Amino acid sequence: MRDVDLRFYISILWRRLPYVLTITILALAISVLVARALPPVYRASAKILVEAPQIPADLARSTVPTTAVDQFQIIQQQITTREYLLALADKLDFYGNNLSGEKLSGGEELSSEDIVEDMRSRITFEQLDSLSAKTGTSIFDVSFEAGEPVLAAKTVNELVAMILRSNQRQRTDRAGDTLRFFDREVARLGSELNRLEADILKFKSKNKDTLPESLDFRRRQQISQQERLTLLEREEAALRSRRSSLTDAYATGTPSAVSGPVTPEQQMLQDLNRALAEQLAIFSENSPNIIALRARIVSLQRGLMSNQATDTSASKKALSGLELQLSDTDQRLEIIGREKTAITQSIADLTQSIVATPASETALNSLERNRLNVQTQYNAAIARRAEALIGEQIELRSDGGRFSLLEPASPPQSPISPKRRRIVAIGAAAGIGLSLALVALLEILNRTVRRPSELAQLLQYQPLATIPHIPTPAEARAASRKRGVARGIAAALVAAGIPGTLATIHYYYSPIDLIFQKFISN
Amino acid sequence: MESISTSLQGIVQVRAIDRASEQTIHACTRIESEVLWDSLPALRIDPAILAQNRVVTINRSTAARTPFDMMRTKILQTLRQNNWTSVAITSPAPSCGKTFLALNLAFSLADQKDCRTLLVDVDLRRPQIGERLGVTGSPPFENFLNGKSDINEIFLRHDSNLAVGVNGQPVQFSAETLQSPETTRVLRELRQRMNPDVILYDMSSMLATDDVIAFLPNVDCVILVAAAERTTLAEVDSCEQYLSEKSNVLGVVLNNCRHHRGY
Repeated sequence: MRDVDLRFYISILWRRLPYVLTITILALAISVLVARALPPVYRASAKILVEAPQIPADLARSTVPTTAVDQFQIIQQQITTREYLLALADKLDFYGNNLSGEKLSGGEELSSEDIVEDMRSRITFEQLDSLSAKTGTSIFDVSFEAGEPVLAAKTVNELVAMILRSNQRQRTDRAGDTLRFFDREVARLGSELNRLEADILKFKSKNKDTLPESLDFRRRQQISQQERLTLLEREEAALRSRRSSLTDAYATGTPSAVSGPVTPEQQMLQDLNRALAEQLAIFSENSPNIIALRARIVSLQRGLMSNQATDTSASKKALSGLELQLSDTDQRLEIIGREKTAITQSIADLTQSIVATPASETALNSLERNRLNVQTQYNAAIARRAEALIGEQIELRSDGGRFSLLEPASPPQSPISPKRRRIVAIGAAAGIGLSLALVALLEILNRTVRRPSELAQLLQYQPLATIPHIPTPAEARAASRKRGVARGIAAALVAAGIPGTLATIHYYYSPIDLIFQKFISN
Repeated sequence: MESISTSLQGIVQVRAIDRASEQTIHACTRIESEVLWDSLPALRIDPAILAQNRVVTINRSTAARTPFDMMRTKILQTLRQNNWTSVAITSPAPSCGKTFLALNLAFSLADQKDCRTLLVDVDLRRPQIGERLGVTGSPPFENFLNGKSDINEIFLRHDSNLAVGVNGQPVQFSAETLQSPETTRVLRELRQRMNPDVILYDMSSMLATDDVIAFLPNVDCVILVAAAERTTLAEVDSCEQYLSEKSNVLGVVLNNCRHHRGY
């Protein structure tokens, strides 16, 4: 059944062959015409290598953070801006002299919109392949389509130059910006630091007495002053006692220390005075012991007075010596007194300064802390500036993520479009498809009986008979003649085709003898 | 008892006489038909003309006649089963190959020696059988149908068992002629006198005229011819339905089929 069906379809096709052939040939002719009529388009392309930074990032870092690929995309956007494209078209005189492929109807002026649109459609950026995702090294392909190979190549090279220039400029600008920023930062922080330091100096000079660093010194000073004060007091006491003893000695006539040894009376008197003093500590004023003692002392003093009166000459001499001694002592005492007041004042000052020290220490600490913070920032800024300097150097010497021209565009040998062969092939295929569709449609629309099976399907019983086509003798002769002619043509085609194919292979593919040798060696 | 037996004997005798007379009549008619067949003028055929008109069954040895022979056998079997004699050949549209089929079938039946066949051209508008056979100057068939002409003036004999009724002239009022009682009578008489086993009526097409509809009561069964790639399924369907309602459809023949290889 399938076999019958296949034969049936083949026979239908055979009968409709005129249609099929006509439509196919028409389609072929049209496609050939189209392929010939379409203007050629040449595409030139250049490859740009977008490299990752040359210097390892852990040694020195570029200060341009964008990856090269991002950079490329940014530039791509810049290049496809209106102004640039218009400038490029103008520069290359792209639409001025009617190039093949840009023939303007009636020489009318293209609007800038159209020009930009057209240019955009001609330019293609393509990332060929990312060599490694980590480093971001990749190759981009920039291509341009134009009606002339030379023009296409020229445009591509122009574009590429622009890309490279723009990339370099951008990166160095960025690096320079970074450096400038850090420069400014350093300057700012430096002036801040200077200001703070001046403040500190001012504070210190203002509160130099209460500075914490001189606290120990001042404490020691205070102690030594106090020691000195006690010494002075002691000396003063000694002087006073001596003076009093001198005066006493003068008064008793027995200059104790000055006028020789003390008389027994004097000695007694002194002893009694001492005893009195002791007794006074124990007894009251009007106890009998005391009264007795006082009486004795008075009597003794009378005796002494009388004795002194006897020795006036001697006492005169003694008096002048005493005078001298006393004035000396008084002088000393005065000096000591003065010194004491001075020392006491200084101790009071010191104490006050010591008391005031914590407050000024706190103030100073806060100042110092500020200074330290700023100092830290300043140091960091200095370090960063150094990095930025290195980064700028890297960018200046384009060791950062750099673009390099891998392969400049050269004028293409053959146009990329129209792909004439493909157009013709598509035309032929379309023609065949169309004709087959037409045949199918005709067959669908054709509601006539063609096979006994159709009748059987309709009538639910087999037809009585199926008569094949019976040719008249003339028809039979014509058919056999036709068959003979067809066979002859086929034979001629085969006979012509084999040498033709061989010749084609020989002249267009590779010489036959080489192929044969290859075949033999295989 | 006696009377009964005598009456029975009488009846038996009468029966015997009847049978004898029937046989006599039968013999008479057979003899008459023999005589009539012999009296028919011979049909001279030119093989070249026949071949030109695609009549293949006159050749004994040709592969092309196989389908006709098969069809002949089938038709004969069906006719005998149903005790039918007359077969009309029609088609939905003109030039589907009715005459072609009728002629081929007729010559194929002629090879069946024990079977007498009549081929009658009742396509009164476009009679073609005579033309196809290369017969010229035959009288109008209308005369025969009116009873003006006799059988042996119209029919031509091929071999000894095929008589062909050729129409020399188209008839104007064909449908009226075909459905007139006179026609019915003439055809009945023809069947009686010629005593054929098969009568093939080559008719006009169904959808062009009402001839077929008019003539249907005179036939036992119908063969519908469909021409491959000309006749639509709808035409076949409608004609077949009509015919099977009004008469017996012997079958549908698909003619001129190029997509068929044997059975």
